[in-house]
Amino acid sequence: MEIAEFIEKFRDQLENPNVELMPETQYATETYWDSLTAMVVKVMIDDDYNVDIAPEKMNTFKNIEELFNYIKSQK
Amino acid sequence: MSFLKHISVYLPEVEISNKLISQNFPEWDSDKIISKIGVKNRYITQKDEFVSDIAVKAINKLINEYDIEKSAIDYLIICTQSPDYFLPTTACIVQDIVGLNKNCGAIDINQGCSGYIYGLSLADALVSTGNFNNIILVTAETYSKYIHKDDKGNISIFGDAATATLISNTGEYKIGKFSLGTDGSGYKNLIVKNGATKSKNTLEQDNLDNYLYMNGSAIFDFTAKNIPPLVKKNAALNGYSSFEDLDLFVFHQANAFMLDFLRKRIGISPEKFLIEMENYGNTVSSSIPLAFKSHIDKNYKNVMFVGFGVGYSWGAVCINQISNS
Repeated sequence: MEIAEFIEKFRDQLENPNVELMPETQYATETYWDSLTAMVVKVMIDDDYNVDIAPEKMNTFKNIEELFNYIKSQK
Repeated sequence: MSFLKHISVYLPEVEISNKLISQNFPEWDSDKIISKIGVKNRYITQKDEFVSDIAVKAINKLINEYDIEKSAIDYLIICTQSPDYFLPTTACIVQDIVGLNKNCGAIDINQGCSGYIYGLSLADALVSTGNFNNIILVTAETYSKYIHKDDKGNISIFGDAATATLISNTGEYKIGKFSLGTDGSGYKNLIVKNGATKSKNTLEQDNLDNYLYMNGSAIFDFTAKNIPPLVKKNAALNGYSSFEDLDLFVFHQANAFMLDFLRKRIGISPEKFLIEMENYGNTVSSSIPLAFKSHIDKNYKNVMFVGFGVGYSWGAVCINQISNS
């Protein structure tokens, strides 16, 4: 599993498809990030990576890379 | 066999607009939140207006709009989680005020966002016994009385309302088969903890356990996992091999963002999927009949209702328009 692919899937969940996303993006502090968006990303991770992250944990990762690494660690 | 015959609705008069919410909570990024939840306006009850009051108004509208003989009603079900009293049953009070027959059965059922489906399932069962021919199912909720004055999120989402549905042994929409579900492990995620017997209301404004609490993320998670399979199961149960065979889906109007998410996840086309909460908010058990009321005369042949939420509790049913009635 590649982080580039994960970032594309992450981007697909956002209302604005042109948002710039990188491994180091601190998504939880961005203006597009709210509880509803967090849940849509959470469901994508559950569907596509078969990892069920607790809703309250979604805001605790430093950046996209850390979230991605957590998903990998759960596989 | 039972039929959904008529629906009437009652909205209280106190209007809570987005503008008012923005005035009361200047720090609230109301434009963004409100555009996401899809609500511009909601109505709530007066301080001295209760479930019995709005239930009576909804029933009287039903009786007057459709010229129904009160004496023909042989059962009244009121679905509410904000009854006037612990006891007696609100339905008994309402029977007397409306002037329904004393031979009429009257019960309350306590269920929230799935309540319309549960109420229909009970009404359908009662009619199917052959003992009862005309049931009024009322949904009536005043969650506004449970919401803390500073809880801008829930103030933005919820509205009060009442609806009255006539279920009979004749009619236009035949009620089909039900799929129901429960997972009480999520009970703490949407709750008014204090005020009943287990945990007394402390009457302190800063004790949030006296008020409505909703863990929106947990509710979203439950919904994402449980509602898509429910919809597929109920479609199959009612003999629909494809969603193409259904003409309209009326889900509990929780919030517009979640509804759109569910619609895409399940694979329902937008023109068949009702989102109608802009002017009412989330009215709990009233949201399905309230949304369907303005479409009941549009000759949708096959319609699915889907309710889900507090409990956790969920349910779905299909209704089918019979052309020769």
